[in-house]
Amino acid sequence: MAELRLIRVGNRFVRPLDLTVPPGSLFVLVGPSGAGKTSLLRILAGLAPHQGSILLEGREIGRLPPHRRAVGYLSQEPYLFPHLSLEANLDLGMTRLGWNKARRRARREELLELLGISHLAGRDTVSLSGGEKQRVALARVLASGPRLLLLDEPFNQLDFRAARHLRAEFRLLQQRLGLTTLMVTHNLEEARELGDGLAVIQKGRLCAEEAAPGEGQAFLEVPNRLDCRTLRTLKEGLVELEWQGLRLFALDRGCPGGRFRVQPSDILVSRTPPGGPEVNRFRGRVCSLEVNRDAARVEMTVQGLKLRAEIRRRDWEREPLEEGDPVHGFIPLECLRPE
Amino acid sequence: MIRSGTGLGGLLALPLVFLGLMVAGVVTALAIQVSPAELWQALCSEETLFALRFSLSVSAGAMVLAVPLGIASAYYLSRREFPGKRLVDALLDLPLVMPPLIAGVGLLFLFGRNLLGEPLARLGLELIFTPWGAVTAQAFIATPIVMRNAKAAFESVDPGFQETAMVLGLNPWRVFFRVNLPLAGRSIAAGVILAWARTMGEFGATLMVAGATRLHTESLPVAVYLNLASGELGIAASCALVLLAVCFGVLVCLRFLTPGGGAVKRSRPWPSSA
Repeated sequence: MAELRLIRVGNRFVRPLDLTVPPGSLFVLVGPSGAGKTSLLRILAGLAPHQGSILLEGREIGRLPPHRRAVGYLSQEPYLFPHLSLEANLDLGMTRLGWNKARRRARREELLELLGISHLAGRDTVSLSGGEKQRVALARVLASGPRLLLLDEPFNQLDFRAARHLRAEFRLLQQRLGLTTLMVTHNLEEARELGDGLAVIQKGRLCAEEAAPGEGQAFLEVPNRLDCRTLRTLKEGLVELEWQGLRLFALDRGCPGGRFRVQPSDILVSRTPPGGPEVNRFRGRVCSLEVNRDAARVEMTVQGLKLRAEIRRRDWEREPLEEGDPVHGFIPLECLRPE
Repeated sequence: MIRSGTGLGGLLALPLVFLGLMVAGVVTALAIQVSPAELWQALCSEETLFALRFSLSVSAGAMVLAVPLGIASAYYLSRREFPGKRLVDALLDLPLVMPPLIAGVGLLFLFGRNLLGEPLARLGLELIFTPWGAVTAQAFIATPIVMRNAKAAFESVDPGFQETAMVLGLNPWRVFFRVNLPLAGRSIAAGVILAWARTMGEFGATLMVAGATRLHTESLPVAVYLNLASGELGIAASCALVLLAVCFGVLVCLRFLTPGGGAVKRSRPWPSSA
């Protein structure tokens, strides 16, 4: 098991920081969009220039090219090579190890079994679902025999249920393999659920570690808090709520009504009504905007109250908004959580 | 008020009909110059067969030079930043816009006795007025075509694939051969076919560097030129028809290689504005 030590590591997006990840642990860095989380992981993977010293098992790896670092990196996008079969994708991960065909095959079968995706063998990677692709990508990273695993919000693109399931599975797997892991996320709940240790990163600066609870949270994405009244519990595992005259639905988590929260990045905002079911929709007006490198933060008035939403940069560039614009909003029911 | 089909749509169809008739007219005019029997005889003549063999072998030789040169340059340009990159990029495109005749004159002077000709001759390589000169001239014209298509193809590959391969442990050579080249392969192949078709029809630069000697440096376009000049319409027409067949074959190949059968996007029917 490998210990990761960062000494004054930084670049133009990350201020010099010191961090130690104990061997075999899963350490989570949590922070809002644009905080420098991905930049730090790219530095560690050898994909971005940096100053400072990166020690893995006491050995300086900061000057090594990416292919010689023995660091696994799993991002939001699985990046399965579309011209290769699922098996060839996994084999490519074992290139560095120089194994023969029989040994590669054995390792491949072991990993597919370990991740519960043996049934996908022989499938075309293009036809896989988001969760399946991410599992295959994880198997491929593990196949490369990394000493350190870097996870960049790998469950972010998945739907709520798939993400929760895969997260729990990954945690068990990581503990079983004893693989030193550094994960970044903007979701504090996810960070607390998974991490052995936790630190907060904001504007490229390490602000606080979990040893000082509360301090770190001040830098995080502040959730919207909605004071709701529970109207009824439905058989389908849902609860019907009333908020400011609007009817909302949430997953029934066995909690009585009251205050619910929704993360700004979970609210969908657009000029035109979004597709999908006719529930949890609202209309509002943009009252303030803040756009940075990774995201746009939109504050809007809905039924006289303010809601904050966060739009990813690439979505924002497709449909930028201006102050005063009328907008349509949608809250996915799994994102409305009781406090 | 403009009506759908008979109004603006109909008006815009007229140039289309005109263009179609022009192309069909050119092909027909070439085909009716000689009777089928004369055409067959001309096709089987020693001169036509030599010109076909010469064109195929010279263009193949040119592609052997142009493909690795074009792909390697395109990869470097698409992945690296360096001072003066834009200037180099524009300079490499120059043969695309340069009149082939001027390119030929430039190559003639460059490989002539006063500059590179002498040292190359000492190495036993004569380019001027030899088939090797034709290979050089055609490679000079084809390389930028291969490079331009390959550069666009490499740039269209999400850099995330390359980074993933690097972190998975693939060295830069393997990243190129196992990831970038296959992902950009179809577009690069389309560029190579286009460049090859261009070399088959190349005339100006080849004429200047390799000359136009019957049964020595006689490519298909040179055969058309020489036989038209001497009034041998049969051989001229048959060589022209062979070239046309090659061009048509290239177009068919491109339709298969380009996503969507060559169409950028399936367009909607002409909107009704009644």
